[in-house]
Amino acid sequence: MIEQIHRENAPVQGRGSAGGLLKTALTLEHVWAAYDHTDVLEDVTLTVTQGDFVALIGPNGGGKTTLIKLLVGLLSPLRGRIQVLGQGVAQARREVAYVPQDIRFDRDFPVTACEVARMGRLGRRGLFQRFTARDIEIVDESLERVQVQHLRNRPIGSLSGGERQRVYIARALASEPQILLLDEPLANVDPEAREAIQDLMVSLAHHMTIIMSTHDAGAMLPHLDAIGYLNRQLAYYGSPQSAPRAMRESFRCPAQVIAEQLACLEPEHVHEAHA
Amino acid sequence: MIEALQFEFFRNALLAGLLVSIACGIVGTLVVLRRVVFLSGGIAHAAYGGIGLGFYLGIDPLLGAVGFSLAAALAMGLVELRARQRADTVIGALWALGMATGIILIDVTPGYKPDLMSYLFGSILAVPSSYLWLMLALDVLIALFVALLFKELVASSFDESYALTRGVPVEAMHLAMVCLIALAVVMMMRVVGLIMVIALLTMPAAIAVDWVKDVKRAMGLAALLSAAFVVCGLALSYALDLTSGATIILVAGVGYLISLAGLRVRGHRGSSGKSLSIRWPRTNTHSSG
Repeated sequence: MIEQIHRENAPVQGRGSAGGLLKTALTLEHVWAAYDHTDVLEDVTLTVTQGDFVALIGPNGGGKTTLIKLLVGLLSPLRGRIQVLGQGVAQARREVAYVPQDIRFDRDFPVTACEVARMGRLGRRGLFQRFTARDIEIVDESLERVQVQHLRNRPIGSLSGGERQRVYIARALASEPQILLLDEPLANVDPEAREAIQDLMVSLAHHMTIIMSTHDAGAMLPHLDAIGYLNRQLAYYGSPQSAPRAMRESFRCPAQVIAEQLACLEPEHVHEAHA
Repeated sequence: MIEALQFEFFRNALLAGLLVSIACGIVGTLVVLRRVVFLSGGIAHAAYGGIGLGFYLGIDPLLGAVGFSLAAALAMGLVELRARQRADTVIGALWALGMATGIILIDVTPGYKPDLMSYLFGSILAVPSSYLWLMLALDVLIALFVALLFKELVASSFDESYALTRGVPVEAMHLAMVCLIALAVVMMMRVVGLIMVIALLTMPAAIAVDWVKDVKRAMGLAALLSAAFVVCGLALSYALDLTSGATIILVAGVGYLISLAGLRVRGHRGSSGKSLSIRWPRTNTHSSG
């Protein structure tokens, strides 16, 4: 049935809409992942509903980035099964857009903001094919949507952290995704830009499934459909309101504090309580 | 230099220099952007094994160099993909192994020992006309390949992980890239010699990338700079009776130093203007001074 949804390219269901079946954006079943023989994710099972706006929180090294890399196919799970839109990760790639963490970046690389955003169209055009007028149009719309149209001809290295992050989001939107994955979109961004990017994500969340990893979910809490707490294991996944009190009170705190407070909670126990 | 143009060997030298510059500008820019300078140096030196193989088998050393450097390039490219942790160590080993193979093969080749110095240090004044056609063909091949796969090459150079999430075959791109380097190396071997190939491949491109914030323009500028260095170097070597390959490299080196100094000057001016955006207004057309 899920495959059928994909073939028909059905519009994403509105968030939390009553009536009708809630469609599944992605599922992880008992997924394990490791770097250099060290487990980073242990037995993660998770289902994300289409149209949901999800924040992944947890300490550094807790596996947030790893989970996102699994979902875009940059890493393969050791064990377990991942399905995205009812297909394997590689098959669903076109429908999933990715905004990587803004690190390891060559400031002197001679590309403009617009050229970076065009890279989002690569999945829609094969090798040896040129970008079409339609591609350029979609890229322009994406730049417009994140309000960086005026920066289009600037070299990417000359932009501020916040401007660059928005260009990366435009690049992701240019892929016309059903699912948007963002890895720490608010890191390396000054306070004003942070607010603008938060507003942008909230407005995008009406149109697509969004999963982001963050250290600071606080300001977006009222807009989130679900929050996932990852510390190698998925200690909690559910609505922010029904999160354990210890977690709820510390959404705005540094991740380390949350880690300490959650250390006493049995992951399975928490899971059961909100299943 | 004008009177020198009446000699065919000198006209051939100039033409060879210009033809090489096209490959140099295109491939060199990609080498600098992808940060595979060390790997390119490895391919250039390992190509000497092909010269030795050519003599040993009694075939054209040029053919030997093409085959051997393509094989060495693929081996090094695969090492970079599969063993990222120690890739530089393995490339360093292949670098020297290629050269050693060449030397030993020439040792065991009976009879006349050819002038191998011309392969190591270049002999642009001894380029035969047939070689020019080969250079032209390689230029066309390289330009065509890069034009057809331009968007994928740039995307995978800029952010390999992201390109992978868009379905770009980044590993194939990397291997294609090292093959292009191997072809460019063989072309340049005759002009500046295998030992100095890396300098002519990277310096014009490094200058271009510093001044022009557009990959295609950078390629063009790098090709122009490379041509300018080759022509100036040739003229100087003729006037002062110096080794041509080394003179070309020294001219390129002086050009690179001037460019770095220019960047510093621009940097100081830019810092007085507070923000980076003032240094880079909306247009992206910054040509070198």
